[in-house]
Amino acid sequence: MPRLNATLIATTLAFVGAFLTTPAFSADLGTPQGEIVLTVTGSIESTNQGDAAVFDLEMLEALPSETYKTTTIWTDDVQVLTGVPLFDFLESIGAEGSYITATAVNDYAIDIPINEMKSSRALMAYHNFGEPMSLRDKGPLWIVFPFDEGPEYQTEINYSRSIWQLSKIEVVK
Amino acid sequence: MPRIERNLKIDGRWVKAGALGFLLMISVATILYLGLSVSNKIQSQTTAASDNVQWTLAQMEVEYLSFKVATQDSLAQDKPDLKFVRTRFDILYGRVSTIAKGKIYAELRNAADFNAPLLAAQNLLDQAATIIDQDDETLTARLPELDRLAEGIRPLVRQVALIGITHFAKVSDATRLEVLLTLSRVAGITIALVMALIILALVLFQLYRVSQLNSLQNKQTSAHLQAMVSSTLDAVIVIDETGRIVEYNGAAETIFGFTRDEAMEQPIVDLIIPPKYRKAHMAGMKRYQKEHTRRVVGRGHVQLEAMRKNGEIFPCEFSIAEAKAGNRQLFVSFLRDISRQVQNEEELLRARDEALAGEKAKADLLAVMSHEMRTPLNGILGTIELMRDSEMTDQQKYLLRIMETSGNLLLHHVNDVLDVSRLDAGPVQIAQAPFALAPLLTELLDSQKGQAQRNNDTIEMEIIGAEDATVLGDQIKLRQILLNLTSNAIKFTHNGVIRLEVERHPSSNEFEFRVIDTGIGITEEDLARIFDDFVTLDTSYSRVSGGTGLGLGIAKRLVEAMGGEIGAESERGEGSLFWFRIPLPILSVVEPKSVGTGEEFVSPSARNQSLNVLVVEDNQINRLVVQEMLVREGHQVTLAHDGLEGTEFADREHFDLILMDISMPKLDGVEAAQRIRGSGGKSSGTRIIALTAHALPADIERFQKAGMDDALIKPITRQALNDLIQSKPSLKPVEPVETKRPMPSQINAAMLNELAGDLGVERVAKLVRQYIEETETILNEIYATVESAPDETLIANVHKMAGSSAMFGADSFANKLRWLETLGKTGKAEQMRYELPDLRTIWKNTRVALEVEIETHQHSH
Repeated sequence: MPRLNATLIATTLAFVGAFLTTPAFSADLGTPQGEIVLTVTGSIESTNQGDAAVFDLEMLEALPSETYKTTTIWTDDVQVLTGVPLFDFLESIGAEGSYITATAVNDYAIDIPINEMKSSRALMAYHNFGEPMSLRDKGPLWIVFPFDEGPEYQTEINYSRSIWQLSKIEVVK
Repeated sequence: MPRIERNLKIDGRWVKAGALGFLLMISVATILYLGLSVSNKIQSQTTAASDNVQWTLAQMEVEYLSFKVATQDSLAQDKPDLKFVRTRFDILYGRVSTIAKGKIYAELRNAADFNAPLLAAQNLLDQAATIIDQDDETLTARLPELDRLAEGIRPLVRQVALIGITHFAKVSDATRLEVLLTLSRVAGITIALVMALIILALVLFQLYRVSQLNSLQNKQTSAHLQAMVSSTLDAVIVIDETGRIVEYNGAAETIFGFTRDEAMEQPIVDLIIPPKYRKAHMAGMKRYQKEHTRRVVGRGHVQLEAMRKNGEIFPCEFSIAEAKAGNRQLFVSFLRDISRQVQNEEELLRARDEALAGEKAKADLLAVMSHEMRTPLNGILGTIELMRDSEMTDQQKYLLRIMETSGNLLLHHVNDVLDVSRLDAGPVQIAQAPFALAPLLTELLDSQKGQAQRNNDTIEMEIIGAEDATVLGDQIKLRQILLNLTSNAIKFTHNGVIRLEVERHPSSNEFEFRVIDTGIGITEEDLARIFDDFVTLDTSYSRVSGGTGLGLGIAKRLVEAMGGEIGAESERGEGSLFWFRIPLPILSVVEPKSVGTGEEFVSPSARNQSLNVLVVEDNQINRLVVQEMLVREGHQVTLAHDGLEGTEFADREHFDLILMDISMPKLDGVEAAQRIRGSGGKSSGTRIIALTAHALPADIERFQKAGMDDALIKPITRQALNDLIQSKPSLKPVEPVETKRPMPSQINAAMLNELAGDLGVERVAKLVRQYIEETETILNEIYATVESAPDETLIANVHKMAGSSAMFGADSFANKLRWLETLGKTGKAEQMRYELPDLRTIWKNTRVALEVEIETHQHSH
């Protein structure tokens, strides 16, 4: 995209580089106590249920979080969305692939290239206004972008990647 | 300079190219701007305000159907999958509430046919939610109720989807149209820009071709100029502002000796400027740089000296032009070696000077010789004249006559030669004095009568149109011309007629004089050269006539000196006609006097009174001759042998007249005359007459300045001596005698000149006018009272006029006045009264002469 600034590219490249050279690790993900809200499969290092890594809300809430205050085209007002940056999340489970296929409860599925996550600042939100989101209200997980921070975020691609009622992620090499 | 022109053209082209470049930059900027704006437009299109709404709306139906299928499946099973039903419901609920709340559907929701079913659907879903949110048992029990609600939602969901899809199809059509319009606009602008670029390219191509052509022309011009510069015979050196040589052609190499390589980039001052001019050159360059004032540059040809390589300094002619080549100031100089030309000029000048010197030497020799010859000749002729009165046999008298004739002839020749050399010596002074024409002519012809009679010729005279005229001119020179022509005519005519015709030109001041004879005539080829010097035609005749051949040459010189022309016509055997025309302004017509009778002059000796005369003369023979002549006329003579003796005698004794030779040892005549005048001695007021063979006007002036009253040109004849003595009696006249001799001039121009020199022309002119006025007044008074006034009054008036008249050089008038005064004071008042009217005529002429003289003076200043 034309408005990409140089710093962003530089940090992205630096980060990707660091990611590629960092030796794979197998962190103990722990076992979900509550209802499983997300199942990650595919080429990942860390798993806790067979080949998959499964998470309840509590496990996700434990990860470093970020909050976007932004409007969306699907809601009527400013939303306060809190969640895990998608890239950080994938990193934390040792994902090694070029893209993910994210699938929602309503069977909506979309591919997101991993190397674009950092620049588009994709966030896997689990709270809105500090509360967990119900299935009726685009919960429990909703990938969002900081749309109000600039037109570069308000793209068709970002909108198509803004998958709600997210339940599955497959990391594809 | 080609280079400079070229640079100018380059400058012009740069301006054009710059302008074009500017245009190009503007075009590129415009295209960039448009490109960016199109890109922004596209980006703004990509900044989607919509998700895939059609998909969302369609998905709503899909999700509704999934929910419906789930409820129906649950109804059919004993243990229905309630979780699945709940999930399907939640998904549908979320979808519908997204459409109900989402911003992208806000516009859609404004349409009633969209919003109403949507709200209805939401209402039903909320009712369903209350059932879904019950515990499993209740839900299971109320499943049929839920299915009915779901059934009710079906047409609403269908309607929302259909209307939404139609609407968004319209919106995307509009958006596409807008994008199309934008793109069309961009395309239009791009086409226009491309067109502009094509035109620009064409213009640039045209410019390129023009500049190509210019460059070709420049090259040609430059080549021509180069060829000219290198082939010109003039040295061409171009220097820059610092004086260094930047161009140096082949001719310069030849002239200065430095090769081009040696000269280029060298300061010109060290190379070709002679050391003595270097300082001036540097100063000139400095001045030019500082003030931009030019002395040499652009001034055309200047002559100076330049230096060759070998140090030789030579004259050269050069011109410098300035030229600008870009920022450089150049000086282009063209130099030509003119040393040969200068040398030739010098040789020519030398040759001319030598020739002139030779001419002068010849003229001097002639003048000296004739002068030296005249003195002994004077002695011979004088002695012959004395001898004539002594007792002689007839044979002796015959021989004496031959001697006299020969002597006179020789004298005539000598005089001719002297005349020629005098006329050639410098500007001839032509007197401007009034004289009566008729008496002059009559007298002249009378003097020729004897010769004419000897040849048995008759002389006739006719004056046409101006019989009584008094004219303004030089009567002595006119007399000489006429004498030469008539004597010539007589010489070549035997038993014929000599006719003198004088005719006044009716509309100008000119007079034509014609001397016609019936003599032997002149052949046509001889006519062409008769006015040349030393031309004697027929040898047999020349023996008889015995002329020097200078007569006509002298006449021609004199006529031309008077501003006239002379010519001759002739037919061999029939006779000749000599004519000349000279300007002679007519002053007045005088009463005809008793002139032209051909009467011999009354012998003066009969009436002359004895004078006491001092003769100062170193030459014994001359002394003797003069003494004899005077004694015979009854005068008393005292002889002095030189100037010193003469002054001593003059101091001691009163003389009535002093005859003073000029060239004398010890003290010359001029000095002696000055001393006598300044001595206050007894004869300091006596008339002094110069005896001289010198006759140049300057000499006469010198004599007059020395205080001499008149001059007698040697050789002295009794006639001339008597005329002189009678025309101007000394202060002790014995008997009044009226002169018949015409005055040479009414006024003494030298006197006026001297006065003008002392007082200034204007003042003298004023004084003279005053004098004229006064004299007129006095004269009028005299004439008005001549009958009644006592002698004393008349004498006093005459005296009053005399002093000032002499002062202003009115010699004739002054002399007449003195004479009248003398008469009056010596008891001859009757005679004085009798002669008084004569003053009128003399005064009239004097007045005219004075006025002419003043006029001339004022005009020449």
